[in-house]
Amino acid sequence: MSDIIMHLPFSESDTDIQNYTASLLRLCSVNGLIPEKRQLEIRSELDSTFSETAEQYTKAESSTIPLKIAEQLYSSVLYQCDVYLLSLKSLSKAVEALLNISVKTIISSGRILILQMIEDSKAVFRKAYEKRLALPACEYRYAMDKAFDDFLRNYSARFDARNICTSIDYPLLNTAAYDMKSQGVMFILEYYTGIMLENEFCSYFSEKDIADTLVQYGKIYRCKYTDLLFNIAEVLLDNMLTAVLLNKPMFTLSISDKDIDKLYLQYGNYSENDILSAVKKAFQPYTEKLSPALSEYLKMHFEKFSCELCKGVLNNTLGNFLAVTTLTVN
Amino acid sequence: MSFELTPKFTGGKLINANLKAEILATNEKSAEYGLVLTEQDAAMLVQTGKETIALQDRIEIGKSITVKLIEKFMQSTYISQNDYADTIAALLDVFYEAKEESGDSLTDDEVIGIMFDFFEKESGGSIEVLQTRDMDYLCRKIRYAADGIAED
Repeated sequence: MSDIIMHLPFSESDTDIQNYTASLLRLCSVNGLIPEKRQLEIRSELDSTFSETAEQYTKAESSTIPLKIAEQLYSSVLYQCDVYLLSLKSLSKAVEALLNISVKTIISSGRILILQMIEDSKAVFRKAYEKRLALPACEYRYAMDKAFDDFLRNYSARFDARNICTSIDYPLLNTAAYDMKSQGVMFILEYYTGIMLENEFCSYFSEKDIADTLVQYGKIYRCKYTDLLFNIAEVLLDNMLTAVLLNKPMFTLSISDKDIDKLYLQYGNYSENDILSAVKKAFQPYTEKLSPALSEYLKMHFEKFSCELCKGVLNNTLGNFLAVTTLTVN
Repeated sequence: MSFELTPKFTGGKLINANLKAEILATNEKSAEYGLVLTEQDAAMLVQTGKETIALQDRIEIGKSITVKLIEKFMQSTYISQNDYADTIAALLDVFYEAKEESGDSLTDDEVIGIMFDFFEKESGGSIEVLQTRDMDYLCRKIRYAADGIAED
């Protein structure tokens, strides 16, 4: 690897993960890292792959395509490059690949990775599906019963690789689906890996306890929980972490009015960081019960939980945050 | 030099750099029907094709539609040397409208085939009649064909 690539004048944060190849090329070009001859070669190889893709798309039976389709196909070609370059997990390696490997090779490597990710997604979805919840939560049910099938039916690694070709509204723990940066099959794999872990987490509770907790959660908003768009695991985890802080038995979901009073007394003087430290410490026994992947996944929620709990204690609004079993709504 | 990856689709075509030559090459066959395009005609058809395709928000990716239309319509019993180039130019408009109506589900050859039959049998070989009186009927025919519905 050359010195200039080892010491790039830009960082990963300067790139656009949703248009990785194009952003890398732009950065390399602006910083004089890529000779004009190489730029033209890359452009020519991309155009040539686009033309082949367009011909395959029309089965060589149409000489023209709508501009919208042309843009989709070109984006699909670039996405195949993005997948390969992102898989290198190193800015320097990605730049080196762009400068030295033929674009055709990058594209075909990307396509192989996409096909592998489709298979990985199927395996992940199967696991998620085995532990799905039988709850009448509309968006969750859609994600479990319909969205993945639609993805498999409509997704095309060649012609429409950047899109997910399905509709997903159900949010993940900590992340709304529309806020996720990944695209295409990378999105699907990331999303259903999250759902798989969340379903695994939910499987530690009885369906009755889950349903009872969600009914109480709906009462915060004075409606049925089935009318709300929210993450089920997040509600359960918030209650469980609260129970953890109150030294209740493992995997407890129910929080009573009395528990809320205890929280105000016990954590009234705690800062957000103090609560975070307490949660981390109290969660320790769970790491022995849960799979490492699930533990790490749940830990990503600790900061948000600590912030919400701290705000709730300070403003006397814990009842707006936790699903309290016997809470009297004002 | 800044690297721009947005393809230059708006130019109307990516491939047919030698379109004028391809159009002139059709003279070899069309001469058998008494039809010949001049250099000027070919240049006009290249320009018309480019403008029409851009207007339709489409891009050309394979064999030129202009050439395909020429190859089919040179067989028309109605087109004469006098109106040959102008008719082909007008047919470009008709083609893209018909293609749009088919929702891109018919191949170029199918659309051109339907247009040709229509031109010969319904419009009496008049491009004016096809473009005005018969256009809606042609579009309906194209839609039926695209939907796989037989029309009486």
